[in-house]
Amino acid sequence: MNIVLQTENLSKNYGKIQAVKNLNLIVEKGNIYGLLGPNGSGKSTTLGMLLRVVNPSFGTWKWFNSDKHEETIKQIGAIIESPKFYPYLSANQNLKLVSDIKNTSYKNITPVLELVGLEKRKDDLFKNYSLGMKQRLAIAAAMLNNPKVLILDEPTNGLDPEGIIQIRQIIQRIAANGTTIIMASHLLDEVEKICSHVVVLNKGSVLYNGSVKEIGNEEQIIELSSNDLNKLLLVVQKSNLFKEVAIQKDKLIAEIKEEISPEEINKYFFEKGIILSHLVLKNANLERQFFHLLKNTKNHV
Amino acid sequence: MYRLLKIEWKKIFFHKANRIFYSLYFLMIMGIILFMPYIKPSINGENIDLIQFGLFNTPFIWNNIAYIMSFGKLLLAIIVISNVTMEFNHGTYKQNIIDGFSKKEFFFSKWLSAVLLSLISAFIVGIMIFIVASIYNPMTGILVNSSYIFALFIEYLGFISIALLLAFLFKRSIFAILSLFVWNILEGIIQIIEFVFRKLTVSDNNHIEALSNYLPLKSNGNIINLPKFDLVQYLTEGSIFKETTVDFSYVIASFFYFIIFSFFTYLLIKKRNA
Repeated sequence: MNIVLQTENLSKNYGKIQAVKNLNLIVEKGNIYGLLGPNGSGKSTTLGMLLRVVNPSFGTWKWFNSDKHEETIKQIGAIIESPKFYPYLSANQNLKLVSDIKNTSYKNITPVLELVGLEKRKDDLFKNYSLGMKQRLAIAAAMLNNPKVLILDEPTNGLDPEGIIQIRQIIQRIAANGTTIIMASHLLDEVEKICSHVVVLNKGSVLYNGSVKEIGNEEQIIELSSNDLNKLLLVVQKSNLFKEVAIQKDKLIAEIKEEISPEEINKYFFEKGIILSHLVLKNANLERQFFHLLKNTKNHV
Repeated sequence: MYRLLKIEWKKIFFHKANRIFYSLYFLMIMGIILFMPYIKPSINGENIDLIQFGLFNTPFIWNNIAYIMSFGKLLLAIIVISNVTMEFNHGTYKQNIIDGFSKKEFFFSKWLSAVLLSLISAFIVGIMIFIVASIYNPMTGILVNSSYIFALFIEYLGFISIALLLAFLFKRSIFAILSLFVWNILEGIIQIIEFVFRKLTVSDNNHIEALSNYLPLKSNGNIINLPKFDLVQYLTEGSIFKETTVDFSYVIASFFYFIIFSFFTYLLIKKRNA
């Protein structure tokens, strides 16, 4: 069995509000999972329950097929919200403390500091760290016990571009060692770049659970441009080849109804008296699919 | 247990300000007793030598010093409260739980360190009293009334269990400390109500002990009372203090509250989201 995590009807109510309702989720080993969803979709509450800081109202969950949560937690590394350490202690002292809590040896401290590139700053106080360094230290702390699963909640939130790249590289390095990663994010671009699988949540339920590739394969979109954008728009709107046309800066973006080659498209417009200056055919990105999923559920409701 | 204390030790003593504060606290406990012979308050222009009044005479010394040191429970409470609330300030309570601490372990790490702190404080007071008593008195019968040290320990325990509960309940030191004062005022109000009620209903009320004496803070404060003294006795026998013994009904009540509040605190942590 390669199932890392299984939840059954996991639910959480805050008063009348159902933050998470009947969540049934299966996470398999060795993948990078992106947990996607708009703000308030229950991502953090779900992670909170799985890490037993939030008491569920209903339902169960099993890590590694076991419901002994106090034991399984020792095989999980997690950071939720912003990095939390004792500000008056150095990075090294903080990691020693975390080692004691996790009941693991201090020997792991040097390797994890090297992993995140903080070995030279290990004796600096946590309060003097930059946000990027704090986030990297948090990953180091989560990796102390060589966890089978690493849980991250918006790990690049608030970081500068350099920090974002560093964190992404670290995550990919960790994933390369076979650690399953579950990453909550609302940055679709980030999920697309890093994750192999996505779980899309909205209003506390799962909308999609599968690989990133499959979610994007269902439809193709086309980018078009020419000298006279208005004329182009008219033609596209009249045509029955496309649907859902939108103008984005100097380009038209449309969905393709049926499969068609770029040559045919080019020919079609040429016959209508339009010379295209730009023609790109591609799979719809995650962002588009994501909004589709959300829109569909709104229609259902 | 060793692991829990080791973790607490690191949280507290790797912090320079904490190290200084704790050292000062223990130095103060010792210092107060050592400096007492030099404190000579003046009343009507005459310096009163407390030693001459028999402050350090056995067996009164145990009651006298334990009474003074019982005010140290306020400092202990502040230490315990700040030690708990800093975890909420830094967000490390939640992170500790995520890192694999069970809520039970977290509670016991705080509880154990608070109990240990009370024990050490009472122990130091006991040792200091013993030293001072042996300087000013013959060794025979020196330990008579040393049960006041046990009473002092229970008073500390009872008080810190309330501090722990309030600290975990409010998560902020200022609210926890203020609520301790409010609690005290509420008990005072209950006491007044009981007094008025008795005046109105029971004609002969002097023989029955007030029930409000057994409220948490009241019973805690009643464990060690102000030493009794008698001026006439001072003029006739040369010693102002009267012999007293520990009232164990309050010790038992306070210990009972200690168990109850510790349990409540544990339940609170267990039930609440981290």
